[in-house]
Amino acid sequence: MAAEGPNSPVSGAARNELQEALRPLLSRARLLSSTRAMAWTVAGTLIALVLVKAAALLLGPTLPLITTAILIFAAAASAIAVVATAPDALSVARNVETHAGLEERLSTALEHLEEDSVVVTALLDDALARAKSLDARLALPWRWPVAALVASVLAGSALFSLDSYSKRVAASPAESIRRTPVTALDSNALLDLAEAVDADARAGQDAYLAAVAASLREIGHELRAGAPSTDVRPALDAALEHLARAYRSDLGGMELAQQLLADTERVARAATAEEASAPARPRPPGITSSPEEFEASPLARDLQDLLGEMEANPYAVAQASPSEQAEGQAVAGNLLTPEMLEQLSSAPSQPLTEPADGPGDIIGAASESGAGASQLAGRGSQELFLEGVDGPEAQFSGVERSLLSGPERDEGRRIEMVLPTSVAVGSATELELVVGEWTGGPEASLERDVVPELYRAAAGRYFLPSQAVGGATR
Amino acid sequence: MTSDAADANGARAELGRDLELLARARQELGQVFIGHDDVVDQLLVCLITSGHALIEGAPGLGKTLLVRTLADVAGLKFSRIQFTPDLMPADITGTMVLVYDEDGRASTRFQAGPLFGQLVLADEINRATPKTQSALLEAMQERTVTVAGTAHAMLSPFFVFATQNPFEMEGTYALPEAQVDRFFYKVAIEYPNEDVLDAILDETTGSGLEKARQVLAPADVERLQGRVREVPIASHVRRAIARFVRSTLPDLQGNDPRVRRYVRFGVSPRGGQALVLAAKAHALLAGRFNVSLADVRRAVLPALRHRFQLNFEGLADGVNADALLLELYDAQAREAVVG
Repeated sequence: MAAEGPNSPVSGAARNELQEALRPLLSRARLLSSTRAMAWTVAGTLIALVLVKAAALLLGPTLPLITTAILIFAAAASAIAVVATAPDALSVARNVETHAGLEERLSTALEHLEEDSVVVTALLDDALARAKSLDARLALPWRWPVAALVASVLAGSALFSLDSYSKRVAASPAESIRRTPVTALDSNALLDLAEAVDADARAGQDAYLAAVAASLREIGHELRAGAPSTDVRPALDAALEHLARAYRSDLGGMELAQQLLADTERVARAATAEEASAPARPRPPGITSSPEEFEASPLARDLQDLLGEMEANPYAVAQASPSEQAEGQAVAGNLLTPEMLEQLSSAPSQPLTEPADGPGDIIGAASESGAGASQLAGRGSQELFLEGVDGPEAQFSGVERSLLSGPERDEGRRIEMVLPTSVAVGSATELELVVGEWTGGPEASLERDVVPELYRAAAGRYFLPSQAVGGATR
Repeated sequence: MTSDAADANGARAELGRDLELLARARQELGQVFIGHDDVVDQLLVCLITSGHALIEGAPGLGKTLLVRTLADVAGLKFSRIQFTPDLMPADITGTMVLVYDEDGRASTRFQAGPLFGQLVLADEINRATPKTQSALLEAMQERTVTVAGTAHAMLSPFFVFATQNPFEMEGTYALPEAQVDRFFYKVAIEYPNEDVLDAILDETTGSGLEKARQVLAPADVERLQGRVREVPIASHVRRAIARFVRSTLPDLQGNDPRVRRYVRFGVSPRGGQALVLAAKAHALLAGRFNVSLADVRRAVLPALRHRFQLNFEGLADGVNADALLLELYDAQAREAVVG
């Protein structure tokens, strides 16, 4: 086989021309590669930023030096990747011949440029002719670096979200409050907070936030009323937790929380209704059920004490003339006359007929009061006791007026009766007559007329519904 | 014009003539052996790579006709041996015979057997005993036959084209792996489709039978055999072949689980050599001066299907060895392109 020498004009020209023909392809390939690498540089830097931001949120503020180092590292790694992945002539040839259907002509020719063989020379000519006919734009078409762009967009979105989230968390009042010990809170601060949160809720029409504000306000009122902090703390913690949750941008989570809240309330209402319709629970030991027992009970004793003190107090409205009584009624609207209280305490009792048969049945002392006499009772109130009377300022010297007032507490099982002390004493001490915690067994009934009009609605939530008892209406 | 340039032009012209000869040989073969262009190409590949071929096909598909036509087209001395169970080695290699000269003196002389041709058709080779089959080994590999201590060189070029029937297994002796590996190509002749069969019936049952003309001389064949080896191959294509050959080995960690489970033995380095050489020949047949990945793919099955054998489990599970081979190659070819 005839072979040509290395200095053959034919082969030498073909070699130079082939390299020349591949130059535009090489330039375009490098341009495309650089563009792709730049896109990845941006994406890599953004991803690094996201990681730094997330680390700052999770682990606390990071050192600026570390942040800068990470960013520089990301940018440097991307730049190195650009240089390292820069295509050479052989890789460009392989890429082009794959897409242009040249069947490895270019790469084989490039690799065998220096060989002296008639077959190689023929290959060089063939490759040269085909390389010349190539359009660089068609052979190496522009392709968007989709993966890098998607990564950049995702990283940018994550960065924006993290930024918004961090600002919101920083601005959340819940965070500052949660850092403050609950014991240091006073009612004013809490009410101020409730107002602020309520304003936010109104501005944003945020039902969840409004519910949290209402809860905070209620707790603030309780604090202001001197409620024991041991009761308030768990509720306050829960409210602050909800507050922190409400201020986050997790809309789905908020909706879910609202749904859960609604479900909880619905379940609670259902439980209350079921409890109202359920038979009376058996009374615990020590609960009075007969006139004798009732007379010996603390309730009767307390009532007797009250009566005695009212009669001894010349300034009591109940002791005043009918005109003064009318005036007192006009002022207070909830006067309990001595007759009422006497009637209340002296009402005969009858043995209980428990357990009751069902909703609407006459139960407890109501069924015992066959003469229709009134008995002070709640739905299962057994004990009336005094609180806050042991201090020097709480000297109980008389009753000016009696009120059924105050917030409904402990799921409606307790009525707070505020009985201001004697006018003569002028003390601001308030007495709370609190119906005991046990609410299962009714001991007495309270006639409708005894309860002032203003408080009938409230009292109706704690007393059994009105029922005809021996011609009287409870 | 300088002498160098004149030489170069002359060499180019000779290369062009060689390609034209190949094209004409292909055309002549295609006129007689209708509808099987791939089979024609494979036999031409064997011709220009100095490779032996094992032709497998059902009776009546024209195996003998194909080989005889190839001998006619290439101008090779054709020799046919019908292998039977009682065929002895001496029957094919030849033996020493006693001869008398004019003076009546006796002497021994080597009487060459039918193996001494240029294109030997070993028809139904699997019907002969292993002893006779192995008599072909030396001739195929060393191109010599030793009889009575004397080595006799085969004619050049020398080819053994053996045929075997894949269906009739009774009374046959399967070729041992060592002997199968001596065959450069295993050519599978499939049953023709309807159009091809129609053309065959038309061409072969008329009054004027098509006869192939000789377009090559043995010297042309030898020159083409040298030309094939000059065809360059890109490094990534060669690397893909090396990886592919290794990927067929069942004992190699990391290979395809199917290979590890179903393959009895994979492709030998000789198989890899055959693949490269065959790919070069396919490139020349396509009029190209370099090996492409597609050329290699064309050569995968004929060059390797007899060098890649499934184990019993693979056969029992109905694993398609040809499909597995192509799949393994395609994986390596893709990787070579991606780089």
